[in-house]
Amino acid sequence: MEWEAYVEGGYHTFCSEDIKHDGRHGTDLKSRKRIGMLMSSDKEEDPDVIPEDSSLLTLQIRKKALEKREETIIVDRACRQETLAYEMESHAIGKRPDNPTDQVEAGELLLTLNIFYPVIFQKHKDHKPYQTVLVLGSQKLTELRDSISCVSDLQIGGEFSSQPDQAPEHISKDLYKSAFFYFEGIFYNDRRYPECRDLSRTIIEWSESHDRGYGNLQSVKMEDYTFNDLSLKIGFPYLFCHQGNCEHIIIITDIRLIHHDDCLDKNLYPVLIKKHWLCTRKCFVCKMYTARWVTNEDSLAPEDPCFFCDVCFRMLHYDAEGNKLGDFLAYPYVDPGIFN
Amino acid sequence: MSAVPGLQADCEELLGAFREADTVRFERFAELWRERRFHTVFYGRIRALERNKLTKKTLEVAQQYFLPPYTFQIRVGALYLLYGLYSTQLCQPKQKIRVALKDWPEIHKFQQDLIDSQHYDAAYIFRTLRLARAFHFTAMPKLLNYRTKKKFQESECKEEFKDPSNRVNSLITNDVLEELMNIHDHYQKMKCVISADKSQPDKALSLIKDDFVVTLKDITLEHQEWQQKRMKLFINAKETDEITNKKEERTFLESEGSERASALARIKYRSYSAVVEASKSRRHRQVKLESSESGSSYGKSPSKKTSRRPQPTRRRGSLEIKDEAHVAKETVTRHIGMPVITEEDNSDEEGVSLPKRKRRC
Repeated sequence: MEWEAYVEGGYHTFCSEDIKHDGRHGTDLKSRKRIGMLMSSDKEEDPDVIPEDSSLLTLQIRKKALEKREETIIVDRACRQETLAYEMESHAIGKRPDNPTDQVEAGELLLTLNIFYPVIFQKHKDHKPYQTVLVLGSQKLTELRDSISCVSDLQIGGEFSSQPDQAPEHISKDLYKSAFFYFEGIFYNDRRYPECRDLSRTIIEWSESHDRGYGNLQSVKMEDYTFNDLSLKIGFPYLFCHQGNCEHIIIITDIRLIHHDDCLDKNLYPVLIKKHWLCTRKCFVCKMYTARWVTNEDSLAPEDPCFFCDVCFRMLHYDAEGNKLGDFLAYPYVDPGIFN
Repeated sequence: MSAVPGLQADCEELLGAFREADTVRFERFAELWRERRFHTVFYGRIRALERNKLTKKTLEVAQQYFLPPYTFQIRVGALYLLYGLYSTQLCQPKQKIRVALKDWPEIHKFQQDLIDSQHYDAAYIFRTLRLARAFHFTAMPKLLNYRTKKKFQESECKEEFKDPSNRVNSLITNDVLEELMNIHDHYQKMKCVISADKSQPDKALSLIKDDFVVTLKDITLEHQEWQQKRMKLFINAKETDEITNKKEERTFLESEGSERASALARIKYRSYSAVVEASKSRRHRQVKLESSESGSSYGKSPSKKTSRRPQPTRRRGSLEIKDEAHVAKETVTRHIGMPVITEEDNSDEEGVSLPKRKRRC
């Protein structure tokens, strides 16, 4: 029967048995109900044009809004941010793996997580910037941890005015690998590398030392747990902490069964579907490129601190042989908007 | 704010027409749909990102009628509506209908009802949606969204579409009546046993009406009838209201409205008559007869003593019998988004400070 072909996809874990059960009713009625019954077939219509004589209130309102927009707007096209947002949202939809073993199984859970940036600017008072990722229930917490990109991982500590070329060797991500998730009274510490420390220990000790009423906080290994193992509350603020004190609030906004139209390639998860567009700080000289250096007590700069892109910084502060000119302290600068 | 302005009204209009057609047949629904060319709700020059959002919201709006407390017929209509909207949407790939885990048993039951009562067209439509993979099976009915809301709006249920929940009926079921009857019989027998005359209970023991179970049943039935009549009246009144613009409405609701009106009149009369002429020497301090707009229209005479202390409970009661001007004012202030005006308002009235009042208005 034709129905079986549909069912084969197997994404009806909710109740696949009843689909087969009432299959007998379908066949004789099938021909009668078609979407055609709902569309008038008399002429081809352009969905962009709102019909003149429509009685629908929605359309009347929309028409007015669109007309007003046409009057006021000069260039009517999607802006960069809108295009980006749409692409982020839809880039993974419907992707299939090359290798069938990488196929996401039916009945898999899909979690939507909002990961907030630890920025506390005044202008973000009303809505905090965050990124949204999709993870599978069968994925390990470490897979999410590795996918979270944060500027504090890329910070470079130290003053490099005398040897600017050596800066990239000191990225924080490689130096300080510890991190933890906090879900429901349990700290999930990343202990994959020997140099990882138990960041939660101080917190647990603090909590226990004065019996502060936080109950029994536990500490476990992040790499031992998948999302399916956790018991979570939707909408509850949890925590991801790395680099010692870079704290990201994590909120689970949705859990649902995987759908046929979702990305079914396991390797692509966690999928980033939304990202906040942060303003970048530009180079003081060219005003074009994102700043990579910041200087203090700079005899050549009009401001303190002053920001430069890599090219301008080197051109201004060093001669052809790479010798330092003037007095200044130079620090590598990582802009929060670097992931835009 | 509903993200698709006007859509709710359109959906309700279509479902209302479907309800009036008094059927659950898909043919009829399709006719109504075609008359309105409802598939054009997605039309207009909208870019993809916006369109996805709009479609999601549209399906969300339609979906609410698919679940209780709406009547069976409205829910069938909503099912057709969902089917129509889902199949005619312009998104690629199609946006899905969210079904929450908690609602699933209810929907499952609904489907079983459809099959049991042989509404095969509706059952078929549901199946088609399932097979088209139109549903997202989610943990929560709505995708959570964290933004500080500037405006809060209570979502309201359309009264006519609702399945009239009848608390009286759910309390007094057949089983309960039967049980009562048994207890009553038992009680009577016990009375007989302890009475002098074994065949009939003593007069002194007659503390309860003999036929109270029957009376109770009659009262319940009466109540049910009354409720149905009122529902019809309400719907009628609404319809005529749309046509003749309010004039006729009064006559339909006369029976209920007049009660309120007379209560109003009574209160007004009392507050006017209560002001006694003061002696000449105190006339400058005389309690003024203020029109009710000035806000001193408590249910009682505006004597200073009573208005000194706050009376939250009494005020609440008198709220209903406030004149229209006051009610209108209150709704206005609510629009501005200051939900706790009652407290402030109270203090205003205590002081009977007129200038302050005027400024607020």
